[in-house]
Amino acid sequence: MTLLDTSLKPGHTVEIVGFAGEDVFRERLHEMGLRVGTVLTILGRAPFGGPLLIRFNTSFLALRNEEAACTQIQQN
Amino acid sequence: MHTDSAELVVDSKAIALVGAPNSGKTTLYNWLTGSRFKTVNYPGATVEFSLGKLAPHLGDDSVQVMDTPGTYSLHPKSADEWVTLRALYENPKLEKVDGVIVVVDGTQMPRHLQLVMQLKETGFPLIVVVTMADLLRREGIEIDMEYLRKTLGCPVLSFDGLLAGGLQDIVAEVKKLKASTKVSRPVPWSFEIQEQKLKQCEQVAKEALTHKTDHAQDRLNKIVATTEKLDRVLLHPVFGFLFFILIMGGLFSCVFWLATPFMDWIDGAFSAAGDGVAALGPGTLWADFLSKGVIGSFAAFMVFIPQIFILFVGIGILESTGYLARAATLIDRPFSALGMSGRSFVPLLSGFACAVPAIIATRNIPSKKDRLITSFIIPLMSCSARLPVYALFIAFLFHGQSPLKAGLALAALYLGSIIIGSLAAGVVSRFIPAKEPSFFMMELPIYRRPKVRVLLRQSWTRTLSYIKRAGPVIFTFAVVIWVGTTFPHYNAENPHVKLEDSYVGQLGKVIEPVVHPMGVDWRVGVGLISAFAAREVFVSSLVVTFNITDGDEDSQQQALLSQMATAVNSQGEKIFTVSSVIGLMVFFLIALQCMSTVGVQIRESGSWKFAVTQLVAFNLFAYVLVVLLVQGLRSIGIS
Repeated sequence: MTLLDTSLKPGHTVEIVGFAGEDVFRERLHEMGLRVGTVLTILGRAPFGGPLLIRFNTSFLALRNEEAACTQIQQN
Repeated sequence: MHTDSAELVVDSKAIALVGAPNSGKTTLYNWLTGSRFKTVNYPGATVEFSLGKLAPHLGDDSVQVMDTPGTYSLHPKSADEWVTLRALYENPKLEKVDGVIVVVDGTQMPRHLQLVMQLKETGFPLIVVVTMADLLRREGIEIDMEYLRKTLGCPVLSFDGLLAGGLQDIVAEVKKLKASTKVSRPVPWSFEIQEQKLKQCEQVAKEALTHKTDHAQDRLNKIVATTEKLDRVLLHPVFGFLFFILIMGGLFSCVFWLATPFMDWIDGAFSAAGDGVAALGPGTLWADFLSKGVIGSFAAFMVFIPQIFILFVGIGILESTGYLARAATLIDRPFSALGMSGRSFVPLLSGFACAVPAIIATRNIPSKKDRLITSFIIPLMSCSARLPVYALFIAFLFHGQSPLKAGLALAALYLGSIIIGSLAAGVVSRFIPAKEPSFFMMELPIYRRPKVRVLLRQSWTRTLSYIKRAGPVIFTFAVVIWVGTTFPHYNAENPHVKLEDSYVGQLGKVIEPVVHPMGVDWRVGVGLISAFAAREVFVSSLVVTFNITDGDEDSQQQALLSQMATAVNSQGEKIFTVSSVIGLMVFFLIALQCMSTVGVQIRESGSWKFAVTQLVAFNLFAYVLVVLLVQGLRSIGIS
């Protein structure tokens, strides 16, 4: 599943297992510090179905749907 | 012995600061350059970088320091990241960059070390500076600098942005640094290498943190705990938006209410200076030129400086605390529906004070398309220069009625500008091709307390660069208006005759057929033309063209209102009726009557075509709409 999976709720911890979609998104996600094996916490969503908020280590990131959809994860 | 030229070669050094956004790069830059830093703007470049000399108290006068826009990598994905790459490899102002200080946020080391690895491959001599030392120290975290030095193979120093601790050591390393002759372009990494390097960086960061600190990860988590708690409220699906409105409303009100006493003071000082100069040679042309042309035009422009400064301070606070990234996140969804990005919000909000700094503020927007659309609709936001015009017309329409009606009318005008702006964004986004994929991927930095000193100094520099940029344009245009309204019959006794026979008056009569369908005559047309110098000039222009003589401020307004109520055109029809006044308000709402906005637009978009298209489109649209509105209202019986 991807980061957009509806079963994911704030507080859930997930692990990245792969990437898909636009190359430029993947490259930027790597630059932001995400890779296969990164464990991240779902924090929630901004109002109006806005960007998805995640935390990994000491970093906070807001991802648009199409960006979050690139990240394949499994729930720990 | 050195010869002069040899010494120049040895001593003159250019060092670039490179780092991710929010890494503390600009803070280090400000400390390194002291008060002597200047900003340089290059034609065609969309985001500026700054060049400065090392501060005098740090000793070496021949070292040049360059601040670059924040970048996550040397493989640019947005216009501002391209500026950083070009600044390193094809800098128009520097012969070459001799070395790079890579700024690494100590709380974000795993991610930020990637840039160090990339730069190492290019062969630039490096100095790594680890910032946020104050945050780390407070949690008792010590970084093993010796380990980093060995692993990265270059000097690694820590820097405390709050107290400038470590500054002298950084300067000493800069002086020791030897320029490399072999510098290559960055080679893009494949995804496999990228992930591998990231893993490696994480390992290095972990080692550096755990060598000297027990439970390093727990301590790091403590640093971000407050941020997570705050975001639970500030990014809450419901309350987040409420706080957003409160914070933005607060900024907005500050720009208006806090600035008023300073604006009155500047207005008073300039008008006293104008009177003083006028009294030196009553009735002479040079005194008139100095007092009305030069001092008058400067007054009209300088009076907005307090608003602009307060706006820069406000945006600076939002920027340095980290809230700006949250605001952008909150508004991203609604704004992307209009072809913009969350980052468009603050520039648009600034547009309610003045379009000029607002257009400059669009540099924060990474996607070129989003940025163009945002700066396209900024002039539609009702800037403060429209306020005196609205105030006059609302007073005319609701004279002697409840102030609530006037307030609602003003609110409707502001709301109208937001609605028209949204529509314009939606339309224009279909015509601007997307050259690069629009991505958001916003990093939400750890909340920090703003540094007052840096904040004030930075705001002042931004304000000064605004004055330098817009000043000459406004000045030139004001002089042209003065000449146009004064000549050829500059010695005419009657000011009314002088104006009517002046070049501007003659022009006014030429354009009379154009303004007639709007329901007004040539005198209002002259006002509309002079409003191009500054919109609020419209009111004073009406005072001159309708021959209002009472000098007192309050009663001058009354005199103008009663004159407006009775004014008729050459056919004996009333000029200011409900329909024509509504039409004029709508015209001011939409029309782009501001030469300094056009000037800044040309510079920032790097395109005459864009700025001229905007100028023609807005004014033509405003004109056609107003003619239809006025004639429509009249056809249904509203005079």
